[in-house]
Amino acid sequence: MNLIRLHSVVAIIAAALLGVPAFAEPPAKVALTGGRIISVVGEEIASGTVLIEHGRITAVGTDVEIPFDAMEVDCTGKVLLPGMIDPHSSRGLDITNENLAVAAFLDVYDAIDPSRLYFEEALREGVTSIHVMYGNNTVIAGVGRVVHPIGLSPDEMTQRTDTALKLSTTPRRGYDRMRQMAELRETFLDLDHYLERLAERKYEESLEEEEEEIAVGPAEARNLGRELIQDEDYDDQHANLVRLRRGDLDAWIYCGNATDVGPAIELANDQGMLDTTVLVLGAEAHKAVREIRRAGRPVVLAPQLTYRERDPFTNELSETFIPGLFHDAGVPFALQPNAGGSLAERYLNYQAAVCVRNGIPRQAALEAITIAPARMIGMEDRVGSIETGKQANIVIFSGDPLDFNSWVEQVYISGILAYDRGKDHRLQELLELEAGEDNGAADDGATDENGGGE
Amino acid sequence: MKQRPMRLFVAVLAAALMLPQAIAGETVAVRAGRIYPVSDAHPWVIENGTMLLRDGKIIAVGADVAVPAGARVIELPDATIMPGLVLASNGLAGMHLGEESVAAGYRAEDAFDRYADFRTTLASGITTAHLSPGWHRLMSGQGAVVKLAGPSNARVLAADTDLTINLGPAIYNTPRIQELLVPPSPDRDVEPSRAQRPGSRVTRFLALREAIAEALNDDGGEADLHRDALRDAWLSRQTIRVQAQERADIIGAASFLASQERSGYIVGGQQAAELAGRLSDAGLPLVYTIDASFAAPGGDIGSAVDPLLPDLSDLAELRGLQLALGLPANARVTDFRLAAAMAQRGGLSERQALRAVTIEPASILGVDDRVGSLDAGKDADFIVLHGAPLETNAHIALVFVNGKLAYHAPESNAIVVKAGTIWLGPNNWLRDGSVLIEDGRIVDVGRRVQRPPHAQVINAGADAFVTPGFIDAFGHLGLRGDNGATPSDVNLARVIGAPDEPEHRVARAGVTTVMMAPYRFTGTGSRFTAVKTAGQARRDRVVRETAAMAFDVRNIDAALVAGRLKGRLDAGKKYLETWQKYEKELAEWLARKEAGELTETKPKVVEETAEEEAEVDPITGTWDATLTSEQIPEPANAKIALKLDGNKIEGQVVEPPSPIEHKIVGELNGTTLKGTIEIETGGAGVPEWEAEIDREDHIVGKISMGGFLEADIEMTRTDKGPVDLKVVTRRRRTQGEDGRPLPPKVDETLEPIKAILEHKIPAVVAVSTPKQIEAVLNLIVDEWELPLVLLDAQGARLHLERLREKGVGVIVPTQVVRRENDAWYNQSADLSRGGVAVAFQSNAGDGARTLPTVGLYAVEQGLSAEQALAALTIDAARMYLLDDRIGAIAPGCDGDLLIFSGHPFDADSAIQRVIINGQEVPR
Repeated sequence: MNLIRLHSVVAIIAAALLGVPAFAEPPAKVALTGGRIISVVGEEIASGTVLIEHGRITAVGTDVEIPFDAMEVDCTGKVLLPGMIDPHSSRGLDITNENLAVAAFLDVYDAIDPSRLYFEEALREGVTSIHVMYGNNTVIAGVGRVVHPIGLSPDEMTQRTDTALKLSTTPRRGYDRMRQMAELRETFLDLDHYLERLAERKYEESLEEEEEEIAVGPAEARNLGRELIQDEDYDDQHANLVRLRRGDLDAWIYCGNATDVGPAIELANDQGMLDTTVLVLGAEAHKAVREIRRAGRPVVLAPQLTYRERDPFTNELSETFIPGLFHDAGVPFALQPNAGGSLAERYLNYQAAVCVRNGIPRQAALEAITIAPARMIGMEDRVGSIETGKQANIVIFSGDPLDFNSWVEQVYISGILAYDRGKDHRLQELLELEAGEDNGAADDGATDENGGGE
Repeated sequence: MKQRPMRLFVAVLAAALMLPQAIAGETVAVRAGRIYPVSDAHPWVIENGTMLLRDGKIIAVGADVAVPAGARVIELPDATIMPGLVLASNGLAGMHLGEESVAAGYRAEDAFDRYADFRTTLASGITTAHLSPGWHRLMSGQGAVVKLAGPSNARVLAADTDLTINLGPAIYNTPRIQELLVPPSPDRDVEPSRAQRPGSRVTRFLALREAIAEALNDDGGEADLHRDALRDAWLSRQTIRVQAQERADIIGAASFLASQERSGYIVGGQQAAELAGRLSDAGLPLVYTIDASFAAPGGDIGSAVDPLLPDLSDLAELRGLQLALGLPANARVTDFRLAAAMAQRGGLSERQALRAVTIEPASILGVDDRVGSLDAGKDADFIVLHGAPLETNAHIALVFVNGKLAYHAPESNAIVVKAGTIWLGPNNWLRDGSVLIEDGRIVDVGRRVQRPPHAQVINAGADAFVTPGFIDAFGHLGLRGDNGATPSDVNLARVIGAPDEPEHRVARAGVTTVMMAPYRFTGTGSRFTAVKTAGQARRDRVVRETAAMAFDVRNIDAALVAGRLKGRLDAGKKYLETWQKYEKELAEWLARKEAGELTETKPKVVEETAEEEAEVDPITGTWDATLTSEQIPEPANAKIALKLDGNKIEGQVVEPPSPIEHKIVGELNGTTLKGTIEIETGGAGVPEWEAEIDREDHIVGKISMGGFLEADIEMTRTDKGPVDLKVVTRRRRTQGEDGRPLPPKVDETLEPIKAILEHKIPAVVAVSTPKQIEAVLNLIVDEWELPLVLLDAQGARLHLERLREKGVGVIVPTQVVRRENDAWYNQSADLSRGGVAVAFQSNAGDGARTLPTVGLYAVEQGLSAEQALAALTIDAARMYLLDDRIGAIAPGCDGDLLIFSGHPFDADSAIQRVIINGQEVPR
């Protein structure tokens, strides 16, 4: 055990000093040939070629002409899957939530820590896009962004900024539901109030410029002033809330329990942002599946896929398989890795395999870790499938991705070979260590420094 | 149609459980023994009432409501129906964690978990509850009224029902408010934290007035949720709910409300009750909070008033005061119904108390258009319970919300029967008693019995008369016309299965046990089986497999009777003795084993040999054999018996006794012998042998078996005597492997005789003449001292004295009154008067149904009604030595009860319900 700890400490120091695997300029053209291609959006190709040019997929199929200057990678016997997407993670942040209950002005940009082992693990597990969000312990937290797990700085990692603002209808620590809802309402009430004052001020300013007297009533003045407001006029505290209402930022609302779903949908409706709302669910929230279906919004399911409950009278244990309910209801859903669960549950493809085992069609399960979350993070035109025109984020598995004997062999991100199992020294050391000591505690070493995530 | 007895309660539950799937527009009729509508539009109690429901609403209630065609009907004859309880005060919502002293923007509705499982609360009958935003701030927010079941979007009955004001020490502990700068900025100073009112009782109303004034005077400053909420509530004249315990606070609240010209109500305890007159004058309703800490009282009281037993007599007298009952914030809500029941001790009438937990709180909370009483148009929220609404140990079985089953009590094997009269024996009546049956057996009988959780309660009424189930002392139910005699080793129990239509009819007539007998008996006797007329399977139905052994001596000359019976008794005695010997040996062996005295011994074998003459020949006799082979470590010795018949040889290994059955066969040709050993080898072939008589009385040869075994054998004749091979087969072990004595062989023909000799079952003897009776009495009662029952026994009255002294019962003939010596004569009455126990028989299959009427006729013809009842129950049970199981209402006996509308032999009495093994036999 000590040896493992020592190993992980050394690993972290090494990572801190040397940085995560640095990557070179992408080769201009790469052809992945001979592999089985699971594009997720179309039929599987038993043996085909994916042509990558300048980081984008330019051709997929069985009769792709390979340019003479392309670097050819033989993928015979391997399986190509679009890079998987972690739809909601705070594990790359140095702190999951600020102390402030309402902090819409924050951006996860300031909290992303590229040296977190989480990113390295995500890459090893075949995750190429991570929607970094603040945690659930909040009323209104800041803005999230999508990153890929390579790069030395948040800027280098960033794929898409300003994706969504995080809200929660589940009480944060030290709050109860009455206070949580009162603060949410107060925040938007305050926003209305602020916008009125701002409009009045803008109108007055415009009059001053033109040296005219106020000739209209306050309501009319506010209307006139509203036209004059520029984006830069909003102060930090309110700017993101305005963008949220306008739909420039999506609303990702955490509902830990079923009873939190109703208020979340009501809030989204009241603020005119239902069309851009995604619900992030806790396990018990699955009971509100009908309410969610009526609202017609997609959901990020709880990491724990099975909900267990005891009857208060008979003490009988009942189990509910959550993704099954949402699939049957026709609600689009994305899966999360279960960082707090077993080692296997940390893999998104394992979570998808569990869905298949519990009766969800294979296609739906694969979509829930690729194209479905891509749509939720507004990047379905860039990631989430192997299609011409998309970013070349591709995971090469040694076998079927839903077979747990399969390894992630290579990961391409934007056409760059970002991960190669053959060169994954830490994994090899870990495997050797495990083989040498023959104990089950070896996985601690690799994940000790995750940082507590929600 | 085949009717299987099924517990009524289960049937009711099953019907009720179907309700959640009620189709839209479907009408459901609920019929119940008593309905308490708690409505001025109806009588207080509707006996045998009907309630019609449709789409979650009540559409009609009354005693003679016509049930529309096609409506689903739920019959609940034992049950009481009342409105779901409305809990106007409780701590269900907890309290908000905000810091503001006056904050109307906190909404109790937000705290409500619309998906929670409230069944534990529903189990106490509460279907509607008020939610308070908290008891900890001067103005803690706005309350709500919710239902504890139903779809999530329909659970909130009314949001923002009231503006909640709290008065009392708790509100003075106000935190200081610190405004944070968000985001922090060096350009602005952090303001010091701000104290809040009220810091003490002095400023409590000032703080309210200030807050109201500020809310009404919208100066357009900072946005403030709570100020806006207060303004909206105040302008819409929302009801003010004042939660206060202390006298001064309540008086202050009354004058505050008067000064502000606001309507509201008070939530308070004992001191509020003392101010009832003042509240009544001010037109302020009161939600009286009862301490319901029954579950964990404890602690000293320190005041003049017992909190669990408050004096509510003042409240009871004030007709002008609108009164509801509630609970303090910290009380267990599940004790609410009991708390309301206890309020009757404080002086409230039943009506006042029941109204105070249903329609009055609904009215105070402003939801009486939806809940609180069973009126047409209201929500179908009701409770189905056993017992009166506020009886202390009444049991809530079902709770409906919006016409859907929201809670049902767990299934229980317990049943309590309450009745005006319970018949415990002749002239031993229990008035206003109860019987508790659990798991099919009677557990308790008395004026008040315990009621286990969720027991079904049958309240049969003051006129009801409960007796043990009736016994047919000689019947043929279930034999289906098979009127032959059954041999003494055949058990009738084997023909018994699940009851069918005839059994069901007999059960409904009140005959719960039949002493099932063949139509005729064999000379060696025939067996009876005691069997119940209802039950799921043979296991439930058979009371005793062999309940009696019967002999028929009616056609035998009295002089020969004794001889005939004595033969059987002697055989039985001998048989019994072998068993007694075995049991004694076994006891000794066990004792020795216990003491550790036993060493390994070889099992003893008893040889029962028989002599037989035979000619001497070269083979026949006993031979000492030696077997040698490379495959066995040392030569094996054995004694072999051989016999020659013609040239055929038969033989067997005699010693050591072979554990497996085998036979040596072969042929003799001159001096050459050849053959096989017939033995079960599981398909491996049989051993073959070949031998030669090389000299007189000496044989050498070989035994081989496939490729497995090659052995040489040498045999010397030790005995030329004739051998009887059957001797060997009669060898019997008397000891087990560990030396344990083995039991003797069971002889089914003698088993019942043994049971008679052990006084476990009676001998039943069918007799007709006095001489026969005398012979039987002499032999069985006097000589052998065995339990005896006489069947038919027409001459029994001549032996009255002896029968009474010896306690011999008589199963009287089916024809209760018969002509004898030109006079009509009632044998049962005659015997009974003479102190002899009698029982009735049907001597028929489903004709057992007439048995109660036979009893009635016997009564009409002179038998006392009490004796007739005993004859049908306890006396019949005693004759068969089964009175610890049937025929009586006593702890330990089977739960077989009959509920009559009066004494069973009164002309206008009718059997109403039959319970067998604790389960009601359906109509």
